[in-house]
Amino acid sequence: MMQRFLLLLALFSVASYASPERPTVSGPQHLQIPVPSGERLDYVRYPAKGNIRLIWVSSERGQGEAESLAASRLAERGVEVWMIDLTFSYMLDAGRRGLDHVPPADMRALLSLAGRDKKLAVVALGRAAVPLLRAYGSWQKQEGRPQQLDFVLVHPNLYEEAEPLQEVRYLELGNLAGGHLYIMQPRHSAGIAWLDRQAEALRKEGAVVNDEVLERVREGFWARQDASAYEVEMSQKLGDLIWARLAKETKP
Amino acid sequence: MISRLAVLLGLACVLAFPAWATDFRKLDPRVAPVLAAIDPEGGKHDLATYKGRVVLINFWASWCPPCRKEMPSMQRLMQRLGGKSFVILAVDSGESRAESESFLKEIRPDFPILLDPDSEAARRWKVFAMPTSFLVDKQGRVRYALAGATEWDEGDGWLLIQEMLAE
Repeated sequence: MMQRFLLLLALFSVASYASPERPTVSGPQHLQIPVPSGERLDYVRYPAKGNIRLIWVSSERGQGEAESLAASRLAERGVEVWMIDLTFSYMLDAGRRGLDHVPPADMRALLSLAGRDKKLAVVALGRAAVPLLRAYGSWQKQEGRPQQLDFVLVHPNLYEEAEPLQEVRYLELGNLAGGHLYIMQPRHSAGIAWLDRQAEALRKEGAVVNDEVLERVREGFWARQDASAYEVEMSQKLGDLIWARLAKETKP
Repeated sequence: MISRLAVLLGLACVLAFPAWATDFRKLDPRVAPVLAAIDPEGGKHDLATYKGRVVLINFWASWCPPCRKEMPSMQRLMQRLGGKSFVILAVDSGESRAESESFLKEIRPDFPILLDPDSEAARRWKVFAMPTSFLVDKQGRVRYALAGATEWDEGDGWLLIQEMLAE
């Protein structure tokens, strides 16, 4: 409780310092980077003058308009965003496990490049947490693995197997020491029952894990066709939500 | 380009038809976990007391569209099997009574709704998706599981229940 209060206090201080909003350098740019598998990874860059670069990876459901808005809002606050839709880039099956096929080496190359001249943080939505955490978990120190990497994971789905009446199994993601993971889990989700177990599984891999329950919203609330008025409202605030949850030391 | 269009089409299907399934998983018959909870009126329900009947246990929540969509079919199923050795226990999981109240007033189910606000029952039954249903036989053994929704008064669900009632 005290820890959360101190974090909120710190966030408030930083938010006050950050006003007025910093101007973006220019509008979004559609770019590509070559990755070790031979693919060229499409991404949209939202430039900003701050010293933080955020890799934003959309969920298996694809990219929504609210995500672009969120990226613009973050860029206005000085956070450069590279927005990536891996399902689209790799032409993967849109099902739950499609993103598991993204080569970790490609993601390591992406993280390495993105972290070359700015401090790096990652936002991963849904199952997109898997390729990013696998990349971090298999990243060696001699390959430039940063001592700390902050992740905001919005309802991460890290199940290896989750069948009714059977003990849940989580994916092995490698060595997550130095990974600071902040999980945001919608209250209205089946995953809420398993939030503690999932956090515990990630701690066993060495990560520092904190979590927060997002009240009155469902998984993928920012892209749902049947979104409630409140979910629509929260979608418009997605960038602010992420901004508030980035670890204090990551803020510009 | 065609492949990317196919991916987009696939995405559209996933978004349009979330959690609708008809694949019942046949289980090695096993003793059902404990299921004891109260209904919104404070009535106590314990699965153990329903031995001798076939029981459909349905984990649901009012925020879940497929759950809401399948519930009228559960109502019809109950009406068709009224008086037989069959009962439905619908476990409202992970939400408060107040949150599901308006939906329940709307559909007025003929079967008990069990409250599981802290998801304790969902964890005990290892429920990872909404809705998830189980068919329990007259001996109190879980025989089938279904992650996702179905039309309970037709198709596989109806046939499996008929088979279990005939045993």
